[in-house]
Parts: sequence; C-alpha cells; structure tokens
Amino acid sequence: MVKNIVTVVLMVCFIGSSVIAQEEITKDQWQRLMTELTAKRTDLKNKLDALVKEVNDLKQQEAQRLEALKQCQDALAALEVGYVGPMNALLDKIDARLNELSSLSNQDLYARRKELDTVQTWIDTARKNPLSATKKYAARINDQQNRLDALKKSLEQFIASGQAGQTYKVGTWAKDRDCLWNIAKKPKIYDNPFLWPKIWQGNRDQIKNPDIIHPGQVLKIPPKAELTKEEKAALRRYWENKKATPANP
Amino acid sequence: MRKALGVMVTGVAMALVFFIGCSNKPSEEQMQQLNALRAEVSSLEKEIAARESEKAALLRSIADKEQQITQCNEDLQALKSRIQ
Repeated sequence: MVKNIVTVVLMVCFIGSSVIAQEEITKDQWQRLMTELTAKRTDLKNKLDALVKEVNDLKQQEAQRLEALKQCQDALAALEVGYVGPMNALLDKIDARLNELSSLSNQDLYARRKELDTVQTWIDTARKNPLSATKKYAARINDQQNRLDALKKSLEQFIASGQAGQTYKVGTWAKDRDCLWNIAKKPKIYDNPFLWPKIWQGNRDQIKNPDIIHPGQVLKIPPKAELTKEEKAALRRYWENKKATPANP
Repeated sequence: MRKALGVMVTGVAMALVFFIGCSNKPSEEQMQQLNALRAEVSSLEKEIAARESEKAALLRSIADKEQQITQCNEDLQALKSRIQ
C-alpha cells in the first residue's frame, strides 16, 4: 500500500517537473532571444532617432508655412478693407430675399415675379465688387445665382402650365350675383362652388370675412385643386363662427 | 514505513534536481534581464508608433497650409488686378 503511494508520488513529481520544464526556455534559447532583442533594440533606437529628427524638421516647416499664410492673409485683409462691409451686407440681403421668395407658393411667386429681377440686379452688383474675384465670395455669389435660376425656372414652368396669373374682378350682386361660392362655380374659374375657400385663402390680404366681397376687387384665383388641409381648417372655422354668431334678425 | 518515506524524499529530491539543476535553464537573474529587454523593445515600438502618428499629422497640416497659401495668393492677385 505504502509502496503504491510512493510510486504514485514519484510519478507525479517526475511528470510535473517534465511538464513545467517544457514551458520554460533553455539557456541556448535565452541567449538567442537576448541577441535578437538586443539587435532589435538597436534598430528601433536608430529608427526613433531618425523619426525625432524628421518630426522636428516637419514642425519647423509647419511653422514656416503658418507664417507665410499669416502674411498672405494680412495682405489680403488690408486690400479687402472698405469692400467687405458693403459686400457682406449686399450678400446677406440677397440671401434673405431668396429665402423669402423660395418659401412662396407658385401663385405668390408669380405675383412677386418682378422681385426676381431685383435680386438679379443685386447679384450683378455683387459681381462688380472686387471681392467677387476671391474664391469665398465667388462661391457664395454663384450659389445665390443658382438659387435664383432655380426660382426663375420654377416660375417659367408654372407660367407654361397656364395656371399663373388668373384673376377675377368682382362684379355687383345685382348684376353678376358675385359671391365666393358663385365665383368658384363659374366654369372659367373652378366649375365647382365647393372650392370657394381656395379663393378666400388665396386672397386673405383683401378678404377678412368671406361673406363680404366688394365690386371692383381683383381676386387672385389659385390653381384648381382639392382643398388643402389649411383651407379645410379655415372652412371649419368659418362654419363654427357662423354657428356661434347667429345672423341678425 | 520509514523506508517508504526515505524513498519518497529521494524521489522528490531527484525531481527537484532534474527541474532546477540538470535542465540547462537560465537563472532568475537572466530571465529578469530578458524581460527587461522585452519591455524596453515594446516601449520603443510604442514610442515609434506615436512619432509616426505625429509625423502623419504634421504632413497633413503642412499640405493643408500649402493649399491655403496657394488659394490666398490666388485671391490676392485676383483682388489686386480687380482693384487696379
């Protein structure tokens, strides 16, 4: 029994030591590794020294470029003085007007179409400013010209569609029986009286109460289409007000 | 029993001798030397990587500045010719 235990312990010791021994390196391997790593360290140190020198040279080059750029920018700024303020004001004005015109419906844009010519005049003026020769301003002016061209094209298409500029001069009740319902009903207008809120909403600047229009008023006639969400909402409010305010006896 | 213990002690001693003395292994000090060298090489590699990165950033910055200088000079000449 004891002999068996001793044998097992001995075997365990022997196998264990053999396994551990396999995970370590021999002196020869150690020597080889030391030689390799020492050579690698020397290479890396040389490489690092060269890199440090290169980086320092590049830093100097960067500083020189920075100085040259500053000199050029100072010279440019000195020449630009006197032109920048008016140019920026003009370009801001053009941007603001283009933003406004871009937000309009085709009908409203048609009504204000002369403003496109005004904006074109402003852009031409901007092009005469010497600053327009510089890249930054040239790019901004070109962008504005592109936006204006897009508006012009959109307007041309609207005009070509035959929907632009239709107006209607309100006649008298006695002779023409003109009210928004009857105007919308006319074959030349919508041929559909239920579209009357479209005329009301298209002329909010001159029609506060859709029950009241005056002879001689010139109404813009928006293109024929189904009532929009806003027009339906306006119609709903109209009927709610009607219910809330009974007609005077 | 005593004999068995003697045999066991001898066995363990033999294993230790095989493990420590007769296995042609580098000493503790030599292993420390090797590990120190490895750490130094690793540190150098990291430093080189950092410098390479710094160099690349500097090259980009210089190229960008050169482009800006070229554009600025073009603007300057164009503006001068328009003002004159």
